[in-house]
Amino acid sequence: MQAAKGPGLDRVGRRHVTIDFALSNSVDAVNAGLFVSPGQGIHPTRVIDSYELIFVMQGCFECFEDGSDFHVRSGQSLLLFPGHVHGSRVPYPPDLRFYWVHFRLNEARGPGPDVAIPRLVKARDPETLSEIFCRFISDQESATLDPVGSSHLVALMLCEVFESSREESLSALSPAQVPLVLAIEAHIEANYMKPISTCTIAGELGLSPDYLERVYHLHRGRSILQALHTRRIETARALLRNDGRKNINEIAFECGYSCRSCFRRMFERQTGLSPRDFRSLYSRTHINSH
Amino acid sequence: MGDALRLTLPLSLEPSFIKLLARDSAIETALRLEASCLFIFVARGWLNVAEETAQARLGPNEALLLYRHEACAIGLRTELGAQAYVVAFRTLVSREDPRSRTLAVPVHAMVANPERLADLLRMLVGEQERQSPSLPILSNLLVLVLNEFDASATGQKSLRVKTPEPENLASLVDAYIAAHYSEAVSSVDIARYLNYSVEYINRVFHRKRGMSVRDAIHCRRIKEASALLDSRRDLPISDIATMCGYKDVGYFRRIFKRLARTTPCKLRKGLASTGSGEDM
Repeated sequence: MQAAKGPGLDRVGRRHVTIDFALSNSVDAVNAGLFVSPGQGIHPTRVIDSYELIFVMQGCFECFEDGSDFHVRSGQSLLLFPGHVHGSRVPYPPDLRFYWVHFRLNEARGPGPDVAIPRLVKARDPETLSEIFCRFISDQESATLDPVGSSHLVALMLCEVFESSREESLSALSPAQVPLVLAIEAHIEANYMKPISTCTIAGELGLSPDYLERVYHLHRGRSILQALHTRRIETARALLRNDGRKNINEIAFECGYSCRSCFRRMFERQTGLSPRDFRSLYSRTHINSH
Repeated sequence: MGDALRLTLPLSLEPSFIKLLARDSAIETALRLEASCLFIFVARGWLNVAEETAQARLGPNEALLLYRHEACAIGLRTELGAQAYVVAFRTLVSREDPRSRTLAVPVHAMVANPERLADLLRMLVGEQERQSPSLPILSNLLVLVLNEFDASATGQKSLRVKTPEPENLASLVDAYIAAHYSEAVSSVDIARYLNYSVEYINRVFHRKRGMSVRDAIHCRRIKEASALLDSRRDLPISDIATMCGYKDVGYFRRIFKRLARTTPCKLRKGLASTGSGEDM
């Protein structure tokens, strides 16, 4: 980026003019997929020459690497190393679904932080991680995946996994989590599909809505209503990606929106995409069952 | 074997400003750039970009990438209802580094797949809004944004998910109305049947047929009613109303009057001018 002077606004419209960026290059993607259990069969015992990251969306994946056993539950990711024997001792459970990606590491040392990525961790944001996998697989299937895209998508997955472990250890270190904030969050988690509001939560907890709002905002930096909408849209994202049979109205109702235009507006505000565009963006995923 | 994977997270770009400019009124933002880049993507509406004396107006799905070596001020003003993503960033990897990879990004282009770009920018804004955003995540997302912009601008990824032709959709609505006008049908039922939102159905239908779905249903019903008033003179008007999907005769009469410019009674008695029922 040592160009002497960038193009001025007067040169707008000349699309052959480019700016070159140098990128660090520490991860190389091999391939990825979505595994859906055939209800029978067993994971082969094998040694592969690349790293493998597994992210379980549903069910529990029982596997081992060398002498250690792993039980990877829904929402958790597992990292397997090249050159080590891994496999499974039990058949695939019928409800198992997981994303997998194979990748290699380069020796290149960029300016990035040196981190330790744990073997097994619970994803902090399963929706975003699924969407990154989905994007990788969809581009791979349509042959539009380029090396820059694939390597940065895998790097992004690894970053997500790292952040998950960091947040996990941070929350374990600070026992001073405010009980009221946790109570609000638990209430949202259990009732977001119903017509709830800050007032109904306050009524449920026997406190004034203003007080609740103030405490929540102080600790989370956003309003209760925002948290509620975020939670609802998260579910909508998962439903739009995974359940092609439901129409958008049904999804709106399932996420706690009583009218589809409210849902549409909220979805657009949070994601910048209409529910329909979001669905078509994530609906092309190749599945493997062996 | 260690219990964790040690690696250097790739970090190529460092964003200093990430914002989704979206308000229903015009807003102004001024940015200072020095030895850094600015990426702008307009998702909706129009955005005015000003730098000293130069000005540019960006429209929907247009993206712009600027690099400024020396300090300068860039003014951004969104027009009514516009939505634009703005990211200022600087690069961290030297081009002399032999292990680096190069990405050439166009300076200005229309984006062929705006949803794909908007989706990555949404993730970028989402990460930025976290309590402690992760720099490597922001950096990787930003590389993906620029890569997507490059691919989308050069037209490699033109695999747009095909949406049905609006013309076709309007005919599907016509067919549904023809088959169900005698029942209590609404645009909501049609939207559910065709698996689209009511708003979308209405928009597409209105564009193609110049009337709302609701009016199209009424038109069809009144047209059928006019024919029945003539051919089935033995039937009372209330029965004809029911046969055409109106439970309430009063409502039927009101709609009839509005569209046929006469009442059902007058039409039957032949007092209305000939052919008034065929106008629709």
